[in-house]
Amino acid sequence: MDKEKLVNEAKAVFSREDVACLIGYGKDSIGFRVSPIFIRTRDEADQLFFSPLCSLSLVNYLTLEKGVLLEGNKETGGEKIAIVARGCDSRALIQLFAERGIPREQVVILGVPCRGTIDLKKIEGKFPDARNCTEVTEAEGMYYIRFDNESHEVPKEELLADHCKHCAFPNPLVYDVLLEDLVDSKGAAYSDIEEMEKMALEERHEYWKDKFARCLRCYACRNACPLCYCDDCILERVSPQWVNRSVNLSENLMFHLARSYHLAGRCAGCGECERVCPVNLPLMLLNRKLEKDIKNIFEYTAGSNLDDKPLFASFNPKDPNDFIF
Amino acid sequence: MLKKFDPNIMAFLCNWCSYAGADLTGTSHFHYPPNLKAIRVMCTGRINPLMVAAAFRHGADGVLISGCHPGECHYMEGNYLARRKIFVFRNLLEFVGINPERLQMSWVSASEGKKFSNVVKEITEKIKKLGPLTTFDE
Amino acid sequence: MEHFLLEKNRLNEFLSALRNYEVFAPVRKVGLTVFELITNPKEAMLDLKNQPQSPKRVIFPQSEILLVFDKNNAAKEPKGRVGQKPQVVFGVRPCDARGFHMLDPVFEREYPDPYYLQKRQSTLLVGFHCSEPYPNCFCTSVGGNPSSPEGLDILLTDLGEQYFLEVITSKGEQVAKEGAAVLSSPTSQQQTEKEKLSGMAPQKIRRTIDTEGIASKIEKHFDHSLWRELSGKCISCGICTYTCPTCHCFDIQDERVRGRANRLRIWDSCMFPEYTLHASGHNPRPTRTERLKNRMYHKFKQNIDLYGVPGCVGCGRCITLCPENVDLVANLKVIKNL
Ligand code: FES
Repeated sequence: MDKEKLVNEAKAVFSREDVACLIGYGKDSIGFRVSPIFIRTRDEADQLFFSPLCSLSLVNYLTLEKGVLLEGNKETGGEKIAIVARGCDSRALIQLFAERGIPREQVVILGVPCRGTIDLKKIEGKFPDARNCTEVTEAEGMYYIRFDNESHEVPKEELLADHCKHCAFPNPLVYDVLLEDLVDSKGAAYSDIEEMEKMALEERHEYWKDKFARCLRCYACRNACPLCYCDDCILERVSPQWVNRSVNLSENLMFHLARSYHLAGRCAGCGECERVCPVNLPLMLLNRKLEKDIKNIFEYTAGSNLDDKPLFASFNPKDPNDFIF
Repeated sequence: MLKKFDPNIMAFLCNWCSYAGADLTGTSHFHYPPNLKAIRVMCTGRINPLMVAAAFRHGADGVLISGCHPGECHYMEGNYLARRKIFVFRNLLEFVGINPERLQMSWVSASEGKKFSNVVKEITEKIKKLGPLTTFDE
Repeated sequence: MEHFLLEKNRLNEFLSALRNYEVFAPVRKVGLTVFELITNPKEAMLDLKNQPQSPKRVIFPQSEILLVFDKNNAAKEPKGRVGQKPQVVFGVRPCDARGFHMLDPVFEREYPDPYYLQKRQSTLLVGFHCSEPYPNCFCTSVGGNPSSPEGLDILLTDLGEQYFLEVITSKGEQVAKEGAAVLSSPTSQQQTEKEKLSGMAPQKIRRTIDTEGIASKIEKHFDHSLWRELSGKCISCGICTYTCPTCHCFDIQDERVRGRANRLRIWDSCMFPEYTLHASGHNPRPTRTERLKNRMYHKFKQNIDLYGVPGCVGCGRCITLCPENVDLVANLKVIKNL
């Protein structure tokens, strides 16, 4: 994306709106890494950038520590928070607005149509010694990558983050400023889920056992998720203690049942849970399985429409009933 | 010799219909297997699927959720909401390799004592066939 | 101590010879290298990279049952709490071995901890010279070295076709004896080759920070507003603490499962708000700022005060695995330059 356009629009937002903080992407000093940055004055906006390396979602910062983004701007007394949002982020935002996690009026959205992002683990695995990446661009199915004194061309498929492969909403669905022309989108694809559904029950159980046994219960998947923002999380409850603290297969399964179910009809598909997992659990499989079923049965897609009621706060008398005595 | 499997079945019954229905089963002397352990909740809409997971975790081989017939919920729509939640949760259970048949749901009104006893019989048979739930043994 | 030579293709034989030990080695699981008890030496993967977890958990497991009890029975220790056989942990990186050195005083002094100490005493560490450090390794800045034998019982160095095997401790000597059949003695050429490699290793570390005086800086600027900025992107997950070879905070809880109850010890993480939450509801470390500061304070101030060394071995895991790129080295530099 054109950096100049991004910076100018960000500055314009500061001049036009009552913004206390703008959350955007900044280049990190090491390798291919990109960090969330918090811009508090117009001039700082020069640090902003966007590239296919921007695989992390910024939406969770809106709800992370209430009020922290608004502080420190006593002079201007800004009331709003601006955020750079891709398609999936906009879905998360819509969901947040619908659940009243944060009021729509408080957020200024700089929408970025997204062509898919690069999985950091994949690119770091391919170029482990890269020190300073200066540019990554995309054209016709190829990534053009420059770092240190090298330049490389890599087919997009090779580096694309898995959840981006299945993305049906690359364009922001809600925004105040649109930073680029909209891109083509394709329908959601669930072929991998369907493959798994064909497995025998026991086989699937073995598959997940192997995965959940690895879980460290670091709760990074929860904390990175833009939609896990309860003040009082059941995982921290002691009475009742829904999930015991022991780290073993049973409790890990309890945790993952709770986590994925809690995102049923809410998951925005940003893939943060999978991206942050230090032990590579394929958590998006769970989320997308539910997304698929909910879409097919209830014709509901989370975060796709500002006027939708949350899935579990609504019903249809014709909902499936044949599993009930 | 293998000990006969006596399943542990947890039931969440809504206060206004199914709990009363279960009561009627008793007062009318309809029999049902003693494997069922009933917990009264105000409405099926109050049931958080995590309660089901916790039941499994703590030793249930099967779970029954029973409430008023659609359209008859004391709180108007609690059972409709419950139906959605349980439907999705069953799919999730199946996807992680737990047989969704272990989680059953029924509509039993306060006057359906006979139906309740039949439901319990049928579910107990089902769970017996499935055998003990070993997923949470560790 | 003694030096030997082990042909690479006889490594499996060497491992098989350790019949009297339970062998833990890196194995490949779900695309990761993790330390596990192996029954077949072929499972072992000598990959020093891509280990998200240190072997800390072999001796100090993430959750460990201390007592079991139920309604009718008095509490007793679970069966087989301490391994019947001594253990060998194979394929340890020198930084991780140093990690155990950092854990020892914590569990030894003041209140000796039998659970840790028994296992520690019966566990032997076989390390590998780290010839290809990670991009985020900074062990040389905190007193370590990619070829350091510190904390290890045996150190192997890769010479291409063979491993150069150095016995460091008497425990290590015992293991070398058991595997003596497959060991030979090195030539003086191989000895020089090994020394050359050790000499080269530190230069491969690309991240450095001078930690001199960092403790007093942290102390002095404890209330500086910069901490708030440093913690801005932290999401308060437990990755840095759970993957750290020296983090050792734990909690003790009683848990009820199906009529039984366990008293267990589980890792805790100072990154969780729950960690310092009082029963009253008050939390002395309410935000990410205090928590992130605490972790740095603990490692680079408190640990130095208590044990004379920073509580960090520079393995770089917390940097590499942090989902939001909170960078310990960069943060230390910021504090240092205040
Ligand atoms: S009261 Fe019976 S289901 Fe709501």
